Amino acid sequence: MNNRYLYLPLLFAAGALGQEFHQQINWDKLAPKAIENVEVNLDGNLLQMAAKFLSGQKPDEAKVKKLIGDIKGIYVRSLTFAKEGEYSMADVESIRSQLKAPAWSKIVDVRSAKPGGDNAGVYMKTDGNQILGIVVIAAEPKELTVVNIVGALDPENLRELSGKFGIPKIELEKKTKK
Amino acid sequence: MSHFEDQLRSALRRKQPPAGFEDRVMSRVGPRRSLTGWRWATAAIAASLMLSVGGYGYRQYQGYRAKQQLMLALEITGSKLALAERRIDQLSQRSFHE
Amino acid sequence: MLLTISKADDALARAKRGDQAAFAHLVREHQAMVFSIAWHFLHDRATAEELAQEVFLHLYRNLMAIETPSHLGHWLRKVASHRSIDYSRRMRLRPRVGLDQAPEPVTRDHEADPLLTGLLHRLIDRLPERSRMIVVLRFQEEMEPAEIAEVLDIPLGTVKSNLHRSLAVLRGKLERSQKGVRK
Repeated sequence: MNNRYLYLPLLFAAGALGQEFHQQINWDKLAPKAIENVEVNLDGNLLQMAAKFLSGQKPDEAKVKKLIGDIKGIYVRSLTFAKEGEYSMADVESIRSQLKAPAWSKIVDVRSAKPGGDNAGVYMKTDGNQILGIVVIAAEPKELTVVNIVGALDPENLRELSGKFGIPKIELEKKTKK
Repeated sequence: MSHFEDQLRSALRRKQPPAGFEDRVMSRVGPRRSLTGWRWATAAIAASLMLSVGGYGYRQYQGYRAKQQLMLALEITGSKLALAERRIDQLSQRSFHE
Repeated sequence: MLLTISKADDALARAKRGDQAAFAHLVREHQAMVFSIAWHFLHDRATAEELAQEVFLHLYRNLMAIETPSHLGHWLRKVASHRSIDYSRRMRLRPRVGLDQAPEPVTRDHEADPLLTGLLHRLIDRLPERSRMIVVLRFQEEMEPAEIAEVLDIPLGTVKSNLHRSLAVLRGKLERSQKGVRK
């Protein structure tokens, strides 16, 4: 039996959790202050639909198709504000607080010492070698973005997308040896 | 209106961006579909066929939108991962020089 | 006029439905405005183009929130202005190419005096960021102070006093420079 099926119940649970995570953030408090509001909610069904429109012939689209194969949802919310200070670090902290260990591990957490700097966090949900979800939180002076990718992400497929869509180069070897 | 203000207006007249700007923007938002001549006719027939099959057409539209949204999500994710990478680079450079 | 409005409405509506050709039309329509705000503010052609591209990419993501063609124009001015100011603030401490070395963008203006234009650009470039953007929006975009206040999220009084002060400074410096040249 393909090992992938062993993860299925976990993945369905992860899918529900992912959506829940995004819903728990108090966007209603933050969104009215924003001048730009980007919202992407792609559940499993919509991702499957999108996959049908991705060409297997075009290299970039083929890689995306491969990557989303086992993804159960992609949820993005990005708010841009006209001026600084429209959201507080407490707002960001309340988002971060939902991503506690042991379920989530903090992969990257860079915080600016001075107020109004760029802060970024990357969190990963893993089960052994399997990545079950990624959350990216970017808190810039005038922009707050939360990305939540739910589902089994194959690190190799993720690496193949390096350099595309602005995704930085990912060096798996170095990270796994640490 | 003063002569000076006219001079300012003239100095700050709108200027066109470098040639090919529109193409460069369009290449970043996704594949461009330029429909000319007979392609328009083909597209119109295809569109009416899609409408005639009702639900099928809607599903096509939904699929297309889902693909656009997916590409947008990946672009945002990429830019924010790049932000994290830049901040790490800055911090490591700073600690290297200290 | 009615036809123009309905065409613009139509392009926006089609772009919102995912029609890329219609979106390209919107880019064509507004590219000079967005690029010029960035260029007049930053005086760096490559950066102005990059910033203008980013503004349109942002528009692409936010198309559903745009209600009318006039809202679109207002939105583009707002985003272009804020992004230019943000960029300038971020780059403040970094060395940049002086205006003397910055080439003029493609449009050749046969009527304007190129020396005077260059001089005015250099003088405008020395204004503080907010004052500089107010001058750009007032004289490039012909915006009223109330509109500028709305776009930049600052009080109307601040725009008026800032504009008054900036014009006095620019006029004084221009006169002094021209006297210097004549001597």
